[in-house]
Amino acid sequence: MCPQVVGLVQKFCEESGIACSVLSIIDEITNQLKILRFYSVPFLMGFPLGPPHDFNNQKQICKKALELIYQ
Amino acid sequence: MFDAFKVEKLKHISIKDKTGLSVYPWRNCKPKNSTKITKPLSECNIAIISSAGLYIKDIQPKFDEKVKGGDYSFREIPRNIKINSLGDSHRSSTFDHSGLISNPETGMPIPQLLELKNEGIIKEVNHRHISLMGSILAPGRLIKKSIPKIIEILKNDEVDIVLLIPI
Repeated sequence: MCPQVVGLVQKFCEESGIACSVLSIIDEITNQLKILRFYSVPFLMGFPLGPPHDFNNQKQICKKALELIYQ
Repeated sequence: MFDAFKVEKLKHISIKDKTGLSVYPWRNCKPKNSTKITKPLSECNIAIISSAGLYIKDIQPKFDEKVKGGDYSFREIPRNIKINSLGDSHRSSTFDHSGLISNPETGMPIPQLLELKNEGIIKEVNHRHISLMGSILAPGRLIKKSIPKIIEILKNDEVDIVLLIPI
Protein backbone atom coordinates (compact mmCIF):
# COMPACT_ATOMS: atom_id res chain seq x y z
CA MET A 1 0.00 0.00 0.00
CA CYS A 2 3.05 2.26 -0.08
CA PRO A 3 2.13 3.62 -3.52
CA GLN A 4 -1.32 4.59 -2.29
CA VAL A 5 0.02 6.37 0.78
CA VAL A 6 2.42 8.49 -1.26
CA GLY A 7 -0.29 8.93 -3.89
CA LEU A 8 -2.75 10.32 -1.37
CA VAL A 9 -0.15 12.66 0.12
CA GLN A 10 0.65 13.76 -3.43
CA LYS A 11 -3.00 14.46 -4.19
CA PHE A 12 -3.63 16.68 -1.21
CA CYS A 13 -0.25 18.44 -1.43
CA GLU A 14 -0.85 19.31 -5.08
CA GLU A 15 -4.34 20.56 -4.27
CA SER A 16 -2.78 22.70 -1.51
CA GLY A 17 -0.25 24.31 -3.82
CA ILE A 18 2.79 22.12 -3.14
CA ALA A 19 4.32 20.44 -6.18
CA CYS A 20 5.14 16.75 -5.92
CA SER A 21 7.28 14.26 -7.73
CA VAL A 22 6.64 10.61 -6.96
CA LEU A 23 8.96 7.67 -7.48
CA SER A 24 7.16 4.74 -9.05
CA ILE A 25 8.36 1.19 -8.47
CA ILE A 26 5.31 -0.61 -9.85
CA ASP A 27 3.92 1.50 -12.66
CA GLU A 28 0.80 -0.62 -12.96
CA ILE A 29 -0.24 0.45 -9.44
CA THR A 30 0.91 4.04 -9.97
CA ASN A 31 -1.28 4.25 -13.07
CA GLN A 32 -4.20 2.65 -11.24
CA LEU A 33 -3.89 5.39 -8.61
CA LYS A 34 -3.79 8.09 -11.32
CA ILE A 35 -0.77 9.76 -9.76
CA LEU A 36 -0.03 12.99 -11.59
CA ARG A 37 3.77 13.09 -11.97
CA PHE A 38 5.93 10.08 -11.39
CA TYR A 39 9.43 8.94 -12.18
CA SER A 40 9.52 5.25 -12.99
CA VAL A 41 12.43 3.27 -11.59
CA PRO A 42 13.41 -0.21 -12.77
CA PHE A 43 14.07 -1.54 -9.29
CA LEU A 44 12.25 -4.01 -7.07
CA MET A 45 10.17 -3.14 -4.02
CA GLY A 46 12.40 -2.27 -1.10
CA PHE A 47 14.92 -0.53 -3.36
CA PRO A 48 13.28 2.65 -4.70
CA LEU A 49 16.66 4.25 -5.38
CA GLY A 50 18.36 1.12 -6.60
CA PRO A 51 21.18 -0.84 -5.01
CA PRO A 52 22.04 0.26 -1.46
CA HIS A 53 25.24 2.22 -0.89
CA ASP A 54 25.36 3.43 -4.52
CA PHE A 55 25.30 7.08 -3.50
CA ASN A 56 25.82 8.65 -6.91
CA ASN A 57 23.14 6.57 -8.58
CA GLN A 58 20.72 7.35 -5.74
CA LYS A 59 21.51 11.04 -6.10
CA GLN A 60 20.95 10.96 -9.86
CA ILE A 61 17.55 9.33 -9.40
CA CYS A 62 16.55 12.07 -6.94
CA LYS A 63 17.73 14.71 -9.42
CA LYS A 64 15.82 13.20 -12.33
CA ALA A 65 12.68 12.86 -10.24
CA LEU A 66 12.87 16.50 -9.21
CA GLU A 67 13.47 17.65 -12.80
CA LEU A 68 10.25 15.87 -13.73
CA ILE A 69 8.36 18.76 -12.17
CA TYR A 70 9.27 20.94 -15.15
CA GLN A 71 8.17 18.55 -17.89
CA MET B 1 -8.37 -3.03 -13.51
CA PHE B 2 -5.16 -3.79 -11.68
CA ASP B 3 -4.12 -7.43 -11.84
CA ALA B 4 -1.20 -8.27 -9.55
CA PHE B 5 -0.81 -11.67 -11.20
CA LYS B 6 0.37 -9.96 -14.39
CA VAL B 7 3.02 -7.78 -12.74
CA GLU B 8 6.57 -9.04 -13.11
CA LYS B 9 7.81 -7.13 -10.06
CA LEU B 10 5.20 -8.84 -7.89
CA LYS B 11 5.93 -12.40 -8.98
CA HIS B 12 7.71 -13.13 -5.67
CA ILE B 13 4.74 -12.38 -3.40
CA SER B 14 2.23 -14.98 -2.27
CA ILE B 15 -0.95 -15.85 -4.15
CA LYS B 16 -2.87 -14.50 -1.15
CA ASP B 17 -1.10 -11.15 -1.40
CA LYS B 18 -1.53 -10.99 -5.19
CA THR B 19 -5.22 -11.68 -4.78
CA GLY B 20 -5.46 -9.03 -2.07
CA LEU B 21 -3.77 -6.43 -4.24
CA SER B 22 -5.96 -7.32 -7.22
CA VAL B 23 -9.26 -6.92 -5.41
CA TYR B 24 -8.21 -3.95 -3.24
CA PRO B 25 -10.28 -0.79 -3.84
CA TRP B 26 -7.40 1.52 -4.78
CA ARG B 27 -8.16 5.18 -4.21
CA ASN B 28 -8.16 7.75 -6.99
CA CYS B 29 -5.10 9.89 -6.22
CA LYS B 30 -5.44 12.25 -9.16
CA PRO B 31 -5.34 15.83 -7.83
CA LYS B 32 -8.22 18.10 -8.76
CA ASN B 33 -5.59 20.65 -9.71
CA SER B 34 -1.83 20.56 -10.05
CA THR B 35 0.78 22.99 -8.82
CA LYS B 36 3.08 24.60 -11.35
CA ILE B 37 6.53 25.71 -10.26
CA THR B 38 7.56 28.93 -11.94
CA LYS B 39 11.03 29.25 -10.45
CA PRO B 40 14.00 27.05 -11.33
CA LEU B 41 14.95 24.02 -9.28
CA SER B 42 18.02 25.90 -8.10
CA GLU B 43 15.71 28.24 -6.17
CA CYS B 44 13.54 25.54 -4.61
CA ASN B 45 13.33 24.15 -1.08
CA ILE B 46 12.90 20.38 -1.18
CA ALA B 47 11.38 17.98 1.37
CA ILE B 48 11.19 14.20 1.32
CA ILE B 49 8.12 12.22 2.27
CA SER B 50 8.88 8.54 2.53
CA SER B 51 6.55 5.65 3.24
CA ALA B 52 9.40 3.35 4.27
CA GLY B 53 8.38 3.24 7.92
CA LEU B 54 11.62 4.79 9.16
CA TYR B 55 11.93 6.16 12.68
CA ILE B 56 14.74 7.51 14.85
CA LYS B 57 15.98 4.63 16.95
CA ASP B 58 15.85 5.13 20.74
CA ILE B 59 14.06 8.48 20.34
CA GLN B 60 10.88 7.95 18.34
CA PRO B 61 8.43 5.05 18.66
CA LYS B 62 8.36 2.46 15.93
CA PHE B 63 5.32 2.39 13.70
CA ASP B 64 2.73 0.19 15.34
CA GLU B 65 1.93 -2.85 13.27
CA LYS B 66 -1.03 -3.63 15.52
CA VAL B 67 -3.06 -0.56 14.54
CA LYS B 68 -6.11 -1.81 12.71
CA GLY B 69 -6.14 -0.61 9.12
CA GLY B 70 -2.53 0.52 9.40
CA ASP B 71 -0.57 3.01 11.48
CA TYR B 72 -1.42 6.41 9.99
CA SER B 73 0.95 8.40 12.23
CA PHE B 74 4.10 10.09 10.94
CA ARG B 75 7.56 10.92 12.18
CA GLU B 76 9.52 14.11 11.53
CA ILE B 77 13.08 13.38 10.47
CA PRO B 78 15.46 16.33 10.86
CA ARG B 79 17.84 17.22 8.06
CA ASN B 80 20.88 16.81 10.30
CA ILE B 81 19.99 13.27 11.34
CA LYS B 82 22.73 10.66 11.32
CA ILE B 83 21.22 8.39 8.71
CA ASN B 84 22.31 5.22 10.46
CA SER B 85 20.24 6.23 13.48
CA LEU B 86 17.14 5.52 11.41
CA GLY B 87 15.47 2.18 11.92
CA ASP B 88 13.09 0.21 9.73
CA SER B 89 9.70 -0.57 11.28
CA HIS B 90 7.71 -1.20 8.12
CA ARG B 91 5.41 -4.12 8.79
CA SER B 92 5.14 -5.43 5.23
CA SER B 93 6.71 -8.77 4.37
CA THR B 94 6.19 -8.27 0.64
CA PHE B 95 9.56 -6.62 0.06
CA ASP B 96 13.20 -7.27 0.87
CA HIS B 97 14.14 -5.10 3.86
CA SER B 98 17.89 -5.66 3.58
CA GLY B 99 18.62 -2.50 1.60
CA LEU B 100 16.60 -0.29 3.90
CA ILE B 101 18.24 -1.76 7.00
CA SER B 102 21.83 -1.56 5.73
CA ASN B 103 21.37 1.78 3.96
CA PRO B 104 18.38 3.82 5.26
CA GLU B 105 19.19 6.48 2.65
CA THR B 106 17.42 4.10 0.28
CA GLY B 107 14.17 5.36 1.78
CA MET B 108 15.25 8.76 3.08
CA PRO B 109 17.92 10.22 0.77
CA ILE B 110 18.76 13.34 2.77
CA PRO B 111 22.54 13.12 2.11
CA GLN B 112 21.87 12.83 -1.62
CA LEU B 113 19.74 16.00 -1.54
CA LEU B 114 22.41 17.80 0.49
CA GLU B 115 24.92 17.04 -2.24
CA LEU B 116 22.48 18.33 -4.87
CA LYS B 117 22.35 21.51 -2.81
CA ASN B 118 26.15 21.72 -2.67
CA GLU B 119 26.22 21.32 -6.45
CA GLY B 120 23.73 24.17 -6.84
CA ILE B 121 21.07 21.93 -8.37
CA ILE B 122 18.57 22.78 -5.62
CA LYS B 123 18.50 25.75 -3.28
CA GLU B 124 17.70 24.10 0.02
CA VAL B 125 17.05 20.79 1.73
CA ASN B 126 14.21 21.41 4.14
CA HIS B 127 15.16 21.25 7.82
CA ARG B 128 12.76 18.35 8.39
CA HIS B 129 11.28 15.50 6.41
CA ILE B 130 8.35 13.15 6.89
CA SER B 131 8.31 9.41 7.43
CA LEU B 132 5.14 7.35 7.11
CA MET B 133 4.54 3.64 7.00
CA GLY B 134 2.97 2.63 3.75
CA SER B 135 1.10 -0.41 4.89
CA ILE B 136 -2.22 1.37 5.40
CA LEU B 137 -5.22 -0.59 4.17
CA ALA B 138 -7.80 1.87 5.52
CA PRO B 139 -6.50 5.35 4.69
CA GLY B 140 -9.37 7.40 6.13
CA ARG B 141 -7.48 8.54 9.23
CA LEU B 142 -4.37 9.20 7.16
CA ILE B 143 -6.43 11.56 5.01
CA LYS B 144 -8.35 13.24 7.81
CA LYS B 145 -5.74 13.41 10.55
CA SER B 146 -2.18 13.05 9.27
CA ILE B 147 -2.08 14.59 5.81
CA PRO B 148 -3.50 17.99 6.95
CA LYS B 149 -0.78 18.17 9.61
CA ILE B 150 1.88 17.24 7.07
CA ILE B 151 0.65 19.93 4.67
CA GLU B 152 0.73 22.47 7.50
CA ILE B 153 4.36 21.55 8.19
CA LEU B 154 5.29 21.86 4.52
CA LYS B 155 3.52 25.22 4.23
CA ASN B 156 5.13 26.58 7.39
CA ASP B 157 8.53 25.52 6.08
CA GLU B 158 7.84 27.07 2.65
CA VAL B 159 8.60 23.82 0.85
CA ASP B 160 8.40 24.16 -2.92
CA ILE B 161 8.68 20.55 -4.01
CA VAL B 162 8.09 17.26 -2.24
CA LEU B 163 9.92 14.16 -3.34
CA LEU B 164 7.71 11.19 -2.48
CA ILE B 165 9.34 7.83 -2.01
CA PRO B 166 7.42 4.56 -1.66
CA ILE B 167 9.28 1.47 -0.59
